[in-house]
This record gives sequence, structure tokens and C-alpha cells, in this order.
Amino acid sequence: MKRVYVNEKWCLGCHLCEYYCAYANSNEEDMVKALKDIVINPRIKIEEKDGISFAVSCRHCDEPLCVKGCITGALTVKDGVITVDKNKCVGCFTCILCCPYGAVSPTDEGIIQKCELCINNTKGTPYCVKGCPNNAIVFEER
Amino acid sequence: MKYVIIGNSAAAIGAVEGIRQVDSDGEITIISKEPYHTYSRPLIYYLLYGKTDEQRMKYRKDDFYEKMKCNTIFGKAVTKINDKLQQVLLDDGTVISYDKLLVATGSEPFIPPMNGLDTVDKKFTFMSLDDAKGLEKSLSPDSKVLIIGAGLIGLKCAEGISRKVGKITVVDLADRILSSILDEEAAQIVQEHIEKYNIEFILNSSVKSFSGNTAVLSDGRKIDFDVLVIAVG
Ligand SMILES: Cc1cc2nc3c(=O)[nH]c(=O)nc-3n(C[C@H](O)[C@H](O)[C@H](O)COP(=O)(O)OP(=O)(O)OC[C@H]3O[C@@H](n4cnc5c(N)ncnc54)[C@H](O)[C@@H]3O)c2cc1C
Ligand code: SF4
Ligand code: SF4
Repeated sequence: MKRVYVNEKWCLGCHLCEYYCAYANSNEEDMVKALKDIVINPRIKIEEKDGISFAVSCRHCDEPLCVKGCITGALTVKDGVITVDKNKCVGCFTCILCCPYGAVSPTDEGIIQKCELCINNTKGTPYCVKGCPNNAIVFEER
Repeated sequence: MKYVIIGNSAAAIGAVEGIRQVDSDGEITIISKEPYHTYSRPLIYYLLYGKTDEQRMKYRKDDFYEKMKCNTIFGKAVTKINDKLQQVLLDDGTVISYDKLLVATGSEPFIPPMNGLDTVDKKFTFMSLDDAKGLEKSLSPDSKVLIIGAGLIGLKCAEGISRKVGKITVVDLADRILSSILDEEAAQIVQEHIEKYNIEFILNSSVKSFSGNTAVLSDGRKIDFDVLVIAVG
């Protein structure tokens, strides 16, 4: 399965992927409209320390602990992609505690969000990867 | 291979998914005494609170058993396991044989001995969907509810019904609420928060006996109530 992988050597720490993520998941046509005057809450996040930076998002694990831990069945595996049913999630945040990568985060509405490889938004393919100017994240089969 | 699983909740569903990762053809039969599609047990309080409904409470999609190729027997309890013959007996007399058996029956609520409990008309535990439905039916906007146990389940129950009843009193033997997970300082903070929602605590105390709708505590105090919930473990 194709996943998003990181080349940390190439990451500039510019945070553009975060903005592309927020834009893609706003389902807004116009990027300016989507991002103007808001504090973004993206599903991919740049970790940086001591001059090293890299983007962290869901690994779409073969044995996803978030799915095992979900108390409602809101998290499921769909052809290898771990997705959340927002209608079922009650915001207990068990999955946030379970994920070893810190890849699940609360939404502004009090439930959870995570990378779904853009299969459930209008973009259809990981938009963070599209937006990265330096190929520091790639979407490929390994 | 013939797998039989007793239980239809988190453990049983995990087992089905595990089996299907390595064996896509074996025959799986799930037996559960509850007459429901698998549901999320923790959500029974969200149901009372109005944050979810029976459809959304389903722990797996409607087509789960079909997709996983499982036979289901719901609303029937297993009363006996004969491991020599590799058979289980159901409460309607049916016998089912197995090659491998998983007992995933969870836990039963503990009810401590209390004199006069049989004189209480409306009493519930809080572990199942049926408990939640029964409790909901017996509540009215001016009900006085007595909950025994200030642990996670007792307090989840209190939260679930707090907007639907007149008054809630929670009694616990321990000196603080949520005693298995909070120290004194933290318990105090959480208790003060909960008390804002018309929920009163009586700690360091237990119910010695009941006489109809009156509970007598270990210090002799009497509490009148309409509905009793036992949530001690
Ligand atoms: C109000 C409440 C809130 C909770 N909140 C949380 C939470 O927020 N997070 C969390 O992680 N956990 C929570 N829990 C705990 C969690 O629900 C349990 O740990 C979990 O349900 C255990 O799953 P299980 O499959 O082992 O057993 P159970 O869920 O107890 O299921 C047992 C199954 O066995 C069946 N069964 C039993 N006996 C028989 C028999 N003789 N014949 C046939 N079938 C039988 C039952 O019908 C049922 O299907 C909560 C529990 C309660 C009650
Ligand atoms: S959210 Fe975390 S645990 Fe779940 S699949 Fe992604 S990386 Fe794995
Ligand atoms: S927060 Fe939502 S998705 Fe996460 S474990 Fe709880 S119900 Fe499942």
C-alpha cells in the first residue's frame, strides 16, 4: 500500500505541509478563503529540535493500536487506510492515548481527526505531499 | 476448524478479527445472551445522556457478521460447557459442538449483601444496554436516585442521568471518589466539579439496610430515594 514517508534530511521545517493539510480538509475550493484569519489544526505536524525537523502523520499501521483501542468502533481499516467515522466518535480520546506516534489529535468540535491520506476529502491524494517544496515527504509504495 | 465464541463484545469481536487474519474459512459461531448486535458498552451512559443512539452505538457495522462469515446466536445463554465432548449447552437445550472454544463473557456486576434489598422496587446495576434502558424508563424529572459506588461506573451513570432527574446521591465506602484512580487532592477537585451538577456525595459510608424506598447508612442516617443503582464493581 502507498503511504506517506518522510525524508527528514530534506525537511526545511517550513510548515507548508501543515497548511496544505488544513486546506485539503477544509473542503474549501479557494485556499485563501480556507486559511484566512484562522489558526490551523492540521493532521500532519512538524516536529523540530536541535536543527532537525520532520513531518509526522499517521503511519497507517498494519496493526493499528488506535483501532484496537477505539471504544466505539469509530476507527476502522478501509483497504489499509485508517479512517474515522465522525458520526460515531464520542471524543473519549482513547485513541490519542493509544497511538505511539501522536498522530491522532482533537478537532475543534471535541472529537478526533487523523490523516486519512486525503481519501475522504475533495483532493483524493495526500495534499501535504503535493505542497512540500523539497520532496521531504513522499507518497509511495515501499 | 469450528470456532465457538461465547460473548459478543469487545473481546469476542477482537477474537473474530484475529481469527479472520489467519483463517478465512473456519466456521465461527458467536453466542451471546444479550439479544443485540455488538454494541459499545461504555456508551450506555452516552445513550442516557443523549450523546449517541442505538444505531451509532454499534461497535461494528451492520454487515460485520456477514463480512466475517460468522453464525450468530443471540438472546441465548450458555449454561454448560462439556470440554470432554467439546460441546456447549444453551438455555433452550440446544447443543453446539466446537473444535476451539473462547469464553469471552466479561464480568458480572457485584452486589454486596445488604439487608432488605429485596424490598426495593426499582433497582438496577449499570453494565448493559438493558440496564440503561430499564433505568431510563423508571426515571422522571423529580426522581431521587441513590447510587452506591463512586467509581467510574457509578459516576458515569450519574453523569448520564443528571439532567433527567431531581436529585442524585452517591454513597461510597472509600474516603474519596474514584478512589482506585485518584489521590485525595485530585479526587477533591473532581468532586467539587461534579457537585455543581446537583449530585451529592456521602463518603466513608455504606448502606447497611433497606426498607422499601429508604436506605439506612452505616452511621444511622436515612436516605429516601425512588430509584437505586448499584455500581460497586
Ligand atoms: C458504564 C461503563 C463504562 C465503561 N467505560 C469504559 C471506557 O470509557 N473505556 C474502556 O476502555 N472501558 C470502559 N468500560 C469497560 C468495558 O466496557 C469492558 O472492559 C469491556 O466491555 C469488556 O469486554 P468483554 O468483551 O471482555 O466483556 P463484556 O463487554 O462484558 O461482554 C460479555 C459478553 O458475553 C456475553 N455473555 C456473558 N455470559 C454469557 C453466557 N452465559 N452465555 C452467552 N453469552 C454470555 C454477554 O452477552 C456479552 O456479549 C466501561 C464499562 C461500563 C459498564
Ligand atoms: S493513528 Fe497512530 S496507531 Fe493509528 S494507524 Fe495511525 S500511526 Fe498507527
Ligand atoms: S475519541 Fe473517537 S475515535 Fe478515538 S477512541 Fe474515542 S470514540 Fe474512538
